[in-house]
Parts: sequence; C-alpha cells; structure tokens
Amino acid sequence: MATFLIGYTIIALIVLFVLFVILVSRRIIFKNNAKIQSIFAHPLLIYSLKRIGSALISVMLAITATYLLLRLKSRTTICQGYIENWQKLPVDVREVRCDSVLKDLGLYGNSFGEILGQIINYFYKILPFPKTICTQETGTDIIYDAFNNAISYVRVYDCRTFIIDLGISYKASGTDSRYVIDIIFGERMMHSFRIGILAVVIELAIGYPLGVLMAKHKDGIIDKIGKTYIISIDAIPGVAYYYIWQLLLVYIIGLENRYDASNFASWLAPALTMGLTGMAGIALWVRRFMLDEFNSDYVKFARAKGISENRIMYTHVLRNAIVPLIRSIPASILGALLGSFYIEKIYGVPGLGEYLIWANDYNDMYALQGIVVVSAFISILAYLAGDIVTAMVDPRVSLASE
Amino acid sequence: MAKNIDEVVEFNTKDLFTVVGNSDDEAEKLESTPYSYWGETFKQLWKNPLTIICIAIIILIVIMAFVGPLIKQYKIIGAGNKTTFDTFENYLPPSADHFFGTAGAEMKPYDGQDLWTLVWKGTQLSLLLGTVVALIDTFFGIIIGSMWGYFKWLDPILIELRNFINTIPSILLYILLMQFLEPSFWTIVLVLCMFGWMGLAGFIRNQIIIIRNREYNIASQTLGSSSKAMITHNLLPYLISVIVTVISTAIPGAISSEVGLAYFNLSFKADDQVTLGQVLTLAAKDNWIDHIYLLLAPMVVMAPLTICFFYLGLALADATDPKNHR
Amino acid sequence: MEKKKVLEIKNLSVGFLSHGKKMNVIRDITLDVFEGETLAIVGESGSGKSVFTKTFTGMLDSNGYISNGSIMFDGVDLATLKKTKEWLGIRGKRIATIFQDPMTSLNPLFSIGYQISEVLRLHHNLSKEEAKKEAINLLKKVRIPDAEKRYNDYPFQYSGGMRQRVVIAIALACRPEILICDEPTTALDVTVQAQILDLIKELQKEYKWTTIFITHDLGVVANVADRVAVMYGGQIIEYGTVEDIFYRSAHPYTWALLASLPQLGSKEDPLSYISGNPPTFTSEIIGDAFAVRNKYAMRIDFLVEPPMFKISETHSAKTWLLDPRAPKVEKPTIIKNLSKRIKEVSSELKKEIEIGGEKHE
Repeated sequence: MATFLIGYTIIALIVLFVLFVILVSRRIIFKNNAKIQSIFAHPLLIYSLKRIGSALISVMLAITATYLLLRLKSRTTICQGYIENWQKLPVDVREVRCDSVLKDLGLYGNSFGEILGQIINYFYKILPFPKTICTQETGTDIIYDAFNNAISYVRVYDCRTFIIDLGISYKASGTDSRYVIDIIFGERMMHSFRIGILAVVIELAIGYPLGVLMAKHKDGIIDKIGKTYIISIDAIPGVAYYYIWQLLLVYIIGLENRYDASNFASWLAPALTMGLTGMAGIALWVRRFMLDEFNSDYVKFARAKGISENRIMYTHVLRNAIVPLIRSIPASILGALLGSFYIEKIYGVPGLGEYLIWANDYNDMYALQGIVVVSAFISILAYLAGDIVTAMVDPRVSLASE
Repeated sequence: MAKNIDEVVEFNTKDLFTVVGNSDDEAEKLESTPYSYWGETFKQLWKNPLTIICIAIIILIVIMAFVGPLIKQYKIIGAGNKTTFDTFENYLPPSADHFFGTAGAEMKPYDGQDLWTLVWKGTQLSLLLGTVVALIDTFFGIIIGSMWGYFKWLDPILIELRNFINTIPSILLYILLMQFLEPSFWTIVLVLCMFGWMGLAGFIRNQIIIIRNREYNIASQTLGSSSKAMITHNLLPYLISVIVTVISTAIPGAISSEVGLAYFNLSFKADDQVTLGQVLTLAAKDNWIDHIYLLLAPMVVMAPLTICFFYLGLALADATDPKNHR
Repeated sequence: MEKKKVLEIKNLSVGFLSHGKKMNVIRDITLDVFEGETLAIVGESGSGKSVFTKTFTGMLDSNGYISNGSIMFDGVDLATLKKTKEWLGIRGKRIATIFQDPMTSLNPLFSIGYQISEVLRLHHNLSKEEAKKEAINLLKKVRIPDAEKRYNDYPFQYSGGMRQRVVIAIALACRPEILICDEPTTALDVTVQAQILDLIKELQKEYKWTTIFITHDLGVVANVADRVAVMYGGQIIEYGTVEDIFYRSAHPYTWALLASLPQLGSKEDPLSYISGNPPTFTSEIIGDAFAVRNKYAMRIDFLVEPPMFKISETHSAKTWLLDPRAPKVEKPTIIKNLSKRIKEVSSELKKEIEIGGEKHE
C-alpha cells in the first residue's frame, strides 16, 4: 500500500513539475516573478527536460526493435530451452506447455493486435506506475483433483510491488530472485561496475598524462611508442588483444586469472585489460587537442606575456584541451555499469555483459529487454551528464541556444 | 652571384644606370612550380618509409593468402565429411610439415587440421569480406551522408536513428539479427553493413555542413552556382581524401567486426570455408596456454594485416590533406 | 641632441627551414630604435615585418633561426638567447607584444580578470587581492566601463574592440619598456580602429614606453608614428621621420606604396596599384628585390644589390637611384603633390565632420 502511495505521489509530482516548468518557461504563469523565472525557466533545466523527452522516444524505439527481433526467433528455439525433455514429450503436450511458456515470456500470439498489446504491456511495466508482480508458475504440472479431473495450478512464489518493473526472468541463472530488476541491479551490475570503475581510473590515470607527454614531446621517443601502441589497439580486433593482455597479465606477470568477488587481487587482471585498452583512445585525443591548442593565438599571446612554458602547458593549454574530452567522462563512468562482454567472458566475471549473452542463449525475453532498457537509460543519462559537465567547465557553451 | 658593383664588368656605368623599367608580365609571374594535387599526394605518401613497408606487408599477405595453401596442398574442411580430407594428430607443434602446427581438439570442426592452411584460407575470406564490407559501407555512407548533410529535413530523422542504434548494445543487434539469418558470406556482409555506414555518413554530414558554411562556398553561392555544381566542384574534391582514408580504415574495421561475430559463434558454418576470426576465436577457446602457437598462428597474420591497413589509412589522411602539401 | 637607443639591430638575418629548403626571410637589417619614440614598420604582407619583430621577443616559429647579426637591448644581445628560461625576464616583462586578432588572442576559458592579474602576479609578485585591484585599475585605464563588474567576464562576451582593449590592458600590466603592436587594428571595424590607436597613443604618453608599430596601412602610420621604416623582401629599404617618408621619399617602392593610398587619388584618375607579387624567398634574390616590379628599374637593379644611401641625418634609402651616376628620374606627380593633397584631404575631412556634426545636432 505504501509503495502505491509513494509511487503515485512521485508520478504526480513529476507531472506537476514538468507542467509547471512548461507554463513558467512559456511565460503563462509567474510572468513577472524574476526569482521563479530564474529557477524554473533555467536554460539548463529546460534543456535537460527536452533532452530526456526526446531520448524517451529512442528508448521506446529500442524496446520495440528488440521485441520485434525476438519475435523472429522460432517457437521451437525458445521453448526448447524452457521445457525439459522437449524431444521426448508428445507433440500435443509440448505445444500446450510451449504456449504457456510463450505467454509467460510475453511472446505469445502472432496477430498484429497481440504483438502491439505485448509491446504496450511492456511500456506499462517500465512506466513508473506502481504494480504488484508475482513470480509464478502457471500450469506446468498436471495434478488431479478428488474426482480425477486434471486441473492446472498456479503456484505463487513471491509477490512484490514495483514502481518500475522489468519483468520476471523465467530461467534465472543461479539465483533465488526471479525479478529481472533484482538480478540486474542486485547481482550483476555490482560486478561489472567494480571492474569497470577500476578500468576507468586506470584509463584516466594513464591516458591523460600519456597524451600530455606525447604532445609535449611531439615526434619524440614517447610520442612514437605511444602512437605505435594506439594504432595497434585501434587496428587489431579487440578479442585478439584481450587475449594478448591475458597472456601478459596472467601467465607472465602472474595476476589471478579467475574473478572472485571477495578477492581484490583477482579484479586487477580484467580491470587492467579493460583500462590499458581504453587508455589508448584517451591518450590519442588528449594529444590531438593539445597540439591543436598549441598553435592557437592565445598561446602565442600568453608566451608574449612572458608566461613560462610549463604554466602555458599545464594551465592554459591543458584546460582548453580537456574541455572537449570532459564530455565523455560521465559516459565512461556510467558505461562501467554495463560491463564488457568479452572481458567478463574471458575472466569469468558474472556481470551484466555476461548476463546479456546468457539471456540471449536462453531466450529470456524480459532479461534481454531489461538489459536493453537499462543500457538505453544509462546512455541517455551519460549524454545528458556530458552536456551538463561541458556547460559547467566551458563558459562559452550555453545550452539555451540548442 | 654578383654582389659587388665592380664584379659586373660586362656593362659600362652608363649602361648600368639606364632606366629599363619592368615588364608587368615578368612581375606577375609566380615563382612557384605548378601544383598537381595527386602528384603531391603520392610524393607525400612515398616520402614515408613506413608507408612503403605497410604497403609491402599488405601485398605480401594478399599474395600469401593465395599462395600459402598451395605450398603444402593440405585439404581443409569444415563440419562435413572428415575422411576425404587431411586430418592429423591434435596439437602438433610447428614443424617442417606443419609450419604453424595443427589445430587443437577443441577447435571443432577444424580439429587436427593444418593451421598454416587454415590461417591462409581464413585470410583469403577475411580479406574478401573486409573489402566488400568496406566498399559497401563507403558507398552507402557517402550517398546517405551527402543527403544527410544536404537535405535539412533528413537531419532529425537520421539523428534519431543514430541515437536509437547507439542505445542498443551493438553485439546484441548482431546476435538478434544473425539468429534468423542463415550464416553465409552475404548475410554476414549484410549484418556488418547494416549499421556500418552510419559512422561515415555522420562524418560526411558534419564535413558537408562545415564546408558548406566556408567562405568560398558562400562566395560561390552568391555568385549563383547551382547546388549540384557546388557539391561536385567544391565539396567532392575535398571529400575524396576523406573517402580514400575511410576505405582503408574500414577494411581492418570489418575484419575486426567479423572476429566479434565469430566469438559468439555467429560467423559462417560452411563446409569448406573458414575466416581468420574463426581460427582466432576457436584457438582462444582451446587450451592455448599450453599450446601458444594455436593463438600465435592467426595473430601473426591478423595483427600486421590490420595494423598496416590502419596505418596506411592514417598516412593517406595526411597525404591527401592539401594543408600538408609543400 | 642624441637620443638614447633602446634597441640596436645590426646586420640581422633570419632563415627558415621549410621542407628541407633554406629561405632567407630577413636579409641583413641594421636599424636603431630610440627611447620613447613610435617606430612604424610598413610593408606588404610577406615582406618579413612580423618575422623581424618576432626576433625581439624570441618568438620565431620553431623552424626559424637567426643566422647572423645582433640585437642589443640594455646590454644583452637578444640574438644569442636561445632557451625559454633566458627570455623569461625580458619577454612580456620588458618587451610586450599585441597581436593582430583580438578574437583569438585571449584564452576563451579564463575570465579577463584572471588573464590580467596572472601577469601582475607573475611579473610583479602581487598578491591575489592586490592583483585584482590593479587589474580593475588597468581595465579602467583602457576605458572598459564598469570595470569592477567586468572583472569576471569571459572573452566570448566581448566585441573585437573590447577584447583588444583587454589585450592592451594585459600589455599594460607587463609595464614594458617596448611595446610591439603587430597590426593591432587590422581585424577591427574601421570605426573602432581610431579609438584603439588613440588609446595606445595616450597610454604611451603616460607610461613612456617605446612603440614598434607593424602595419601595412599608411593611414595608421601618419596617425601614430614618429619614424617609419619601409620593408620589402626582408630588408628595410627606406627609413626616416614621418615627414621624410611622406614628403621626401626616395625609394620607388615607397612612392608606389604612397601612390596606392586610395584617399590621395583624385576621382578622375584610376586607382594606382603595384603590379606583381612580393618575392617568395624560395630562390635567392639577386640585385634589388623590387626591380621586377619597379617602373624605374635600371639595369644595375637586376644585378647588384643597392647599398643604403644616407639622405639626411634621419633619412636613408636603399636604391641605386640615389647613386650619383644614376640619371635623374621624375617622381610620380601624385607623390610630388602629396603634401598639398594631404592638406586638401584633411580640410575636406574636417568640413565633412563639421557638417556631419551640425546635422547630428
């Protein structure tokens, strides 16, 4: 009950807030109240709302596309993974059971109306309306009542009220909970994020100084080595050099090969593999922007002012070179939540990347859709955060004009 | 070089101090040598020894891709009938018989086959795949990109499409698409090309918008040039350098994407065909720690090939940029 | 009365290495700059005037180098300074430069206040508060209204004229002995140009520095300069006081420059111009660099470089026409009538201003 109350209050507040902002910014109400105008008609706020609004369309498109692609899987492919001894069951039994599996997965029916209904149903699930969801099994076993009539039964396991619901994973992997939202946020994401955030730190800590050094000693030995490294990383397929890193980090240096959540040392190999790869791109862009800035007039003028080369380099140039790069930092931090398929597979990290592959292998529709929705929201947030951070560090950027 | 008046002996003073004036033709003559865009581009390209080494390596690998399998004449197979083909003991280390050794037990359906032959056959197909994908991507990238930059009403639609594609993990798209497509050469090309044009198109759109707003184009517009003339005379020549560069970096890109597909077992499963990506990912899933040559064999071909193409792309980008000429 | 020399340039040559080719861009320049004067260096683009002044602050591009000669400044030969460290006490602090384009001269990410006080803190060891106070003071000096409020503004909020004022304020903050102005008004609107020139002149009176003014605009020269040096093909081909150059010029190139001033032509005559292009330095220049474009060129001009002929105490020119053996040539009429024409033009201008003023009222 409490959740329902909270949920509807939140929805009401959001709707009211957006409505209020629209009315204020259109100057329909509070036309002359400068204080309210400055807060609720702030360009940053309006820009963010617009951005989120347009991004929601992208998310809906992504959900629809994923759903339609899932629909292209054959009925047999999906059901085989859910029903044991598929081959041995009589055809009529397995068809009945397959129907119920597909209904559970939200993939039942082929008419236009049914498909549309299922998509709309999913949209309703992820909208912040409170709803009670139970993990359940419908009619998978046939038991007999006192009169020897076959009845199907519904076994209810667990019911919870959600504000946003990502559905139920019918083939949950090694877990008690079957709520996709629990699996993603409670179990999987934490592993991905641990490795990811460590990798981001490594990336930034090595990438930036390397880029600066390469720009400072252009065509010097560091620059040449760095460039060779960057070109190699860009050119060689990712899968290939992840194995080179594994060979180097695990079999030559001797880091732990298997990820173990309770052992920090075992996080190092996957994080380093990820970080040392990602740093190449950062170093490349830092170098390029620094060199661009070096040739600018304000650097010449700063030199003419008599400012030392080091000060020009680290105060004036670096700040300008970092501005275009800062936009990507929120994206890489938020991206760390999602993890990398290859690296999680190679080092056995039970993260989101691995879950995606798993969900696809088992045709777990809600799990797959859940990952798509989460990653879509994360990329929206990342874009938005990037814009806001850029607006904060660069006085020239005003979001109002966009 | 006459520096001193006394050294100029062939004239007498009176002759020397006669006003002869100048000719305007002489004055307007430019001192610079005539300039040819492609001539200068190739001059820049050949100047760098690394570029020449890269081109040589690419040519060598292309030749080896066809000549390599002929050296030993082993027949390789895929999932089909094993008996009519040459299989050997698993995990044979490199030797005179098997330059790269033989495949491991886990590398089904290629277990026990000659890695040298597998790698070069794989190179053939990967190169072909990469080139075809790169050409198609470039073709559509240019067409869609120029329309994107040219027609303003297309802009919001394509930007929305790009945002939407960026929100779905690309590997998931590949996986879902490959699930109902029968893996074959052309379906892999289709899947890789489906979104591959996007990057180039977006890039060309940005360039067109930037170039369109440059002074010389505004000047040309005010002088009444038609839009077609503007695109063909002012925009395309500039874009040629971009296009050449993109093709050259798209080939290693496509080869890499195929490796990604192969990793998820989505590349082809044809009987007598294999790609470098398949050899690599199969080796990676085998016990390569104890038999390092399994991983090294595809790597020693793939790494130089992709790096050289990529470097060539960068060198072309520099050489075709008129700003770097002379 | 002997004036004190602040800069003594002797036989200065500057070379550039470009794609393996050596180019001599400054060729054997000897020139003195006196304390407190305004020296204008005039020439077409490509004549080497910017490169020449860059040697005073050690700011040649990385492929340029001083191949010969000396630049004496207060007992130090600037031509021998190589390392950036050696320049630190001189560049900015004692010799400051203002560049052509104020739109790009300021760092877009720092407030204008920061950019001024940065110099004060660095060169004069002021504390943060002192520097801020002094910076606001300087902003007032360059007539930026509401200086206190403007302290935290960013360059992008300003117009070109306002930015150039900030740039001048930064130069003021350096308290230099020599201020090099590298075409400071070229990028500005005509209406703003005069304001900036006036500002520089006024501040010079107050701060008593020496100004070296680089320009291709003879109108600017007449407005601000005490002395003029005309550059062509990497050499100074004539120098003298403003009067020397405007009324008694001796070099055909100076004549051509003056003749091409549009204000001085009359409505009936076509505008005068100099045909051809300045030398590009890719091949060695033989004889007088201007000979190919010179209507008065003599045969010797194509063969032997002319020496600098002294015309008066203040005035010298580098042309064979001044050789006693040379035939007398008639100056173009427009040059002969120059002083008369200038008076006419200025009185016309005055009238116009008066009429315009009345109309305004």
